[in-house]
Amino acid sequence: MNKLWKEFLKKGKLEDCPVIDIHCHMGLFYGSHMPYTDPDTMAKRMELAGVKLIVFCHNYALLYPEEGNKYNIEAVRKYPEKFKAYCGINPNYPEVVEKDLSTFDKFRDVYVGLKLLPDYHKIPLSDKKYKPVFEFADKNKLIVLTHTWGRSIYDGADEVEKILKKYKNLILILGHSIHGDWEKAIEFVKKYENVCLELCAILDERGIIEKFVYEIGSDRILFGTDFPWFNHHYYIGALLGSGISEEDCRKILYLNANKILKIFE
Amino acid sequence: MNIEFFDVNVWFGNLKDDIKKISVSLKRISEKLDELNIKKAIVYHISQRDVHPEFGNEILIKEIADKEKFYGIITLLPFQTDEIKKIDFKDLKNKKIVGFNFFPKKHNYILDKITFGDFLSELEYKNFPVFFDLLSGFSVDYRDVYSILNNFPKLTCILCNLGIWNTNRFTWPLIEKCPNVYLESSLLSLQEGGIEETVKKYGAERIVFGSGFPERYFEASILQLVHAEINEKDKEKIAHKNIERIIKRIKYE
Repeated sequence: MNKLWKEFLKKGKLEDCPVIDIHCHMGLFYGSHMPYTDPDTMAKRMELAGVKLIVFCHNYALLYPEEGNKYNIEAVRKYPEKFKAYCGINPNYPEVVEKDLSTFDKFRDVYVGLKLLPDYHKIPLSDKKYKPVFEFADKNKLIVLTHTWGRSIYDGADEVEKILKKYKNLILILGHSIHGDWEKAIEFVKKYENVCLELCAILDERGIIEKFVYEIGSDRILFGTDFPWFNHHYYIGALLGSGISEEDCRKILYLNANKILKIFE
Repeated sequence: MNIEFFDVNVWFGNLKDDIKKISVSLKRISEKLDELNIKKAIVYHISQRDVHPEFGNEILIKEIADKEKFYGIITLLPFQTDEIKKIDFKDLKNKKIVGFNFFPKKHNYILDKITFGDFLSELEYKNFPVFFDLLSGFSVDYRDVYSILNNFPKLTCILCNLGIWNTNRFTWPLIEKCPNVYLESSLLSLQEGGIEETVKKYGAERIVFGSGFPERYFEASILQLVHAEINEKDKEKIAHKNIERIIKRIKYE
């Protein structure tokens, strides 16, 4: 058994093993009751598991972008040590996207990149509406976290590969690792240098993380939970229970994310 | 604090289909339980679902007979077709059977008052638990659960694998109206604040510990519960005391 397990079980969090959660949200959501969605409660809850930083996109930014990104900005400016945000991109609102991209540099203290949600916005990643978004991200070498799901016509493997073939400078984080299409997720990591897998909705199923680490190692796998949808201790417990090595766990929990974000020494 | 656990949601056997390939013996599970201070577990054999209840029930009963830490759940079909043996409650006690489960969507029947009315009334009277799986798509959905509990509101009912997204909108009305409904914890632990807010609103008495092994990790729901923002007594209730109380209430006679 991974020795981190015993320590997390005893203490709940570890000074020498902080957690960076690369895939989070904030705020209320129509489809689900989430009790802890405000920035103050989220900041407090992060401490339970030693989560040092979350990178999130407020649900309103994704669902109602005229108003939404201001909630990202407010939250990060209130908790600059604990929160960083993705600028939410909803291509159904091209004028808002244009404005958000043109003012992106003003909020470099807030944003680390962009968040896309094609399955919900019903626009495929390769659609022309996303073109200025990817061009901007590629030019500025930004992180782009996109929701991905196996067999989706919006953000399944075929759509993901069209982006990876075209844009080589941005870092594409595959939220949910093209859920269910694990072979393609593995293939893309082998084939493209600028792609990472993310573990939200993976760790609630035994066997997948073990397969990823066995096939591609742990250097390009990032810890993410959709917090405040899902609980940090649950996901940490799953990772530690998977039987992968302590070194792999540390890379996944914080080292890999820190390498990309370049925030902590 | 060294909490001991009683896991109500474990299956064993071989599951090999186009998506999942899982093979786990009761011996292997027993070793994991020892490692994690899980003193007891309620289990079923996956062939009860995927082959035939009569076939799987026999395997289950045989496998748990000489293994002290395991209790079993047997799977039912409509009695009208005579495919499964008649239920002898006294005999179930000897065989360490502490509940029934149903897979109507997989086994092609309607789980309702017409099919199981008298029997469910008897279970209600005997405080005999039924275990419903809300996730697999083979058992029931929340509409089915609401329909059954509308007719049998005092049925002892353990809702397992509650759903991946937060399920409070489904489960809290049931807990409020039906005194013997309990939530199995594995996917409640997955939901941020799921355990804490349910305890705050309805008390720790309504949650029983479960892992969902072998499809999910024991360690996930253990770590969440151990560090949940609830008091230690409530953790113990969830971890093992509630299910022990539920089993003690069964009237086998």
